[in-house]
Amino acid sequence: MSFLETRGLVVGYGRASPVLHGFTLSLDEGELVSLLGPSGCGKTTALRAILGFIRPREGRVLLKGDDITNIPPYKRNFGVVYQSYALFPHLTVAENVAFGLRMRKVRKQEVAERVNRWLGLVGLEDFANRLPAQLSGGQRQRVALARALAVEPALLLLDEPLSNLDAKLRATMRVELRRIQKDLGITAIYVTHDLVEALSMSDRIAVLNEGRIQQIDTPPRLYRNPVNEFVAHFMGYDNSFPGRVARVEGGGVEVMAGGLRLQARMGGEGELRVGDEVRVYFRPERVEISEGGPEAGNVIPGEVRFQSFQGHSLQYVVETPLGEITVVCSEGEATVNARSVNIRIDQNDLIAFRKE
Amino acid sequence: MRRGRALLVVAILTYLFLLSPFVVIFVVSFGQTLAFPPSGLTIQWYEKAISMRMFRDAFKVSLMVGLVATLVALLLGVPAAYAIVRYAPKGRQYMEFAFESPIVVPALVIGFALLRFLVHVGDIPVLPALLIGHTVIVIPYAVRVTAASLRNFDFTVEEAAMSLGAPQWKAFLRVVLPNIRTGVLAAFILGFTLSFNNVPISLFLTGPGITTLPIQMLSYMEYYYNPLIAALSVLVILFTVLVTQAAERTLGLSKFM
Repeated sequence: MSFLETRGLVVGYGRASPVLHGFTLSLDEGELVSLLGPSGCGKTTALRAILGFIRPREGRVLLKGDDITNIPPYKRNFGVVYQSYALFPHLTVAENVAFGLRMRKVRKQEVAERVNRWLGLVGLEDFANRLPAQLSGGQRQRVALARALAVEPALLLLDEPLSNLDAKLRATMRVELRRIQKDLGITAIYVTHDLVEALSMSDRIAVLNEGRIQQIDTPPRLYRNPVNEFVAHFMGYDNSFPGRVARVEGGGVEVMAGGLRLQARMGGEGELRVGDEVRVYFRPERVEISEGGPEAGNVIPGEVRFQSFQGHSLQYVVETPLGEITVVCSEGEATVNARSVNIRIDQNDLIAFRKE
Repeated sequence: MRRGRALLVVAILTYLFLLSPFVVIFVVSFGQTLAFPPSGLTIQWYEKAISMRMFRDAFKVSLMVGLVATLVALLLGVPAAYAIVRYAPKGRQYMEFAFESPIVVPALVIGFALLRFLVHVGDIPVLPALLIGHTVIVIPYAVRVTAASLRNFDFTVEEAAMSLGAPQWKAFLRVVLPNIRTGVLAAFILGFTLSFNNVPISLFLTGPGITTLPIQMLSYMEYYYNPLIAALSVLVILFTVLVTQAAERTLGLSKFM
C-alpha cells in the first residue's frame, strides 16, 4: 500500500474547465516526489488539492489507505512551505514555529523545547525573537521549513520553496533540504519548474503539462528516456529537427532529414513505421564537434555561427542542413577555430518521436 | 530651488485656508461676545458648556451611539470585506456598490427613510433607531477601509495557518486580523468621528430626551447667540483628537494576541 495516493483528481476553479485532468500519483513512505512543469501546468493546483484547499470535482486522496478527500486542511496534519514563505508577519520567529504546536494544544514547556530544537536544526537559535521582516530570504526559508516540520507532519509539501533565493544559496539549500528530508524519513512532494532542482533532489519526478502527468520516473531514467516531445524538451533536449523514417531496425530507426540519413532510436510508446513523420531530439552536450573529415556514424556538416565562453563550458551555434544546432562542450575539450566543422551524434543520443 | 519655494508657499496657503476657521473659533471661544477679534478674554463659556446638563447628556448619547454603531458596523463590515476580497464572489462589484450606497444616497434621504420605516411604521424606539441609522452610515467606511487593507494581505499566510491546524475562523482571528489591524483601526476612527459629528441622520432620529451633541448644538444656536458654541466646538475638536490618539496608542501598538 502506498503512503499517499491521489486517484484521478479532476480539479478546477469556479465553472471554468478543469486545471487538472485525472491526476493520479502515489508515494511510498519516505519518498520525495517532484511535480515538475512550466508555470500554469497545474502543479500548484495539485498541491492545493492534496492539502485540501480545493475540493476536487472528481477523484480521491488517500493517506495510508484512508480516504481524506473530505477532511479539511487543518485536520490533515500536512506541513507546507510556500514560495513566498508565508510567515506570520506579526509573530516572532519562535512564535511562528510554535504556531502549529499551540494549535495542537501542546504544553507550554514542550512547545518551548520543540521550538528550540527545530530552530537549532535549521541554525536559527539566535534569531528566535526577531520578526520575519528582520530576516534575509534564506533565513525566512528556514523558519518556514522549521514551522512546517515542528508539527511532525505526515506529509511535507514544498511549493517552489527555493525560487526566491539567489543561485548560490539555492544550491546549498537543495542539499540541506534533501538531507533533512532523508534524515527525518518524511514523505514529501516538491513542486518546481526547475529541472536541476527536480533532478538533484527527487526520488521520482512527475512531469506535468496542461494538467496531465506526462511521465513519472526516477531522475536518471526520465533524463535518458523521455516519453514524448514535451518531456524531452523539458529535460534539456534543446535541439530538434523534423524528418521521415526511412528504415526500421530493432529499436532503431533510420531518419531522412535535410538530405542526410541519420541513425536514431525510437522514443515514446508505439513502434515507428517506415514513412512516419518524426521529430528527432538531442541534447547540446551529447554532441561532438570537430574540424576533421567525416568519421563513421551520424555526421552532420555545418558552419559555426556563434561561439560563447561560459566558464565551465563552451557553447557553439552551428548552422547545418538540419537548421541551427546548439553544441555545448566541456571546457578543456578540444576546441575548434575553423568555420566549417563536422558534428557527430551517437545513435543512442538521437531520439525520434512520431509527430503528433 | 524656485520650484521648491513656490510649493512651500502653496502649502502654507492651503494650511491657512484649512486652519483659519479653527483659529477663529478658538479665539472667539475666549471672547466676551461673539465677535472677532474679541473685546475681552474669559473662560466663562467653557465653564458654562461643561456645566450645562443638556450638553452633557447629549455628549453621552453621542459617545455611546458612536462607539456602539462603529463596533456593530465593524462586526458586519469586516467579515463582508473579507468575503469580498478573499473569495472575489461573482457580482462582487455590485456587492461593493451596495455597501457603498449610503455614501451615494444623500444622508438626509436615509435619515428620512429610516424615520419613516423604523419609527413610524416599525414603531421602533428612538435610541435603537438612532443606532441603526448610524450603523448604516458607518458600514460603507468599515467595508471600504478594511477591504483596502485586506487587498494588501497575502492569503497564503492564512492558508499556512490552516495547514498548521487552525480552522478558518481561528486563522482569521490569529493571523488575518492582526495583520489588518491598522485598517480596522483606521475604519474605527473614521467611523466614530463620522457618527459623532453626524447631523442629517440624527436630525430625524433624535427625539424627546435623547439627542446627540451636534443636534443639541444646532438647536442651541437657534435660540442663543454667544461664544458658548465656539467653546463647545473647541472641546469637540479636542475630544476627537484625543480619541484618535488614544485609539492609535492602544490598538495600534498592541497585538491582538
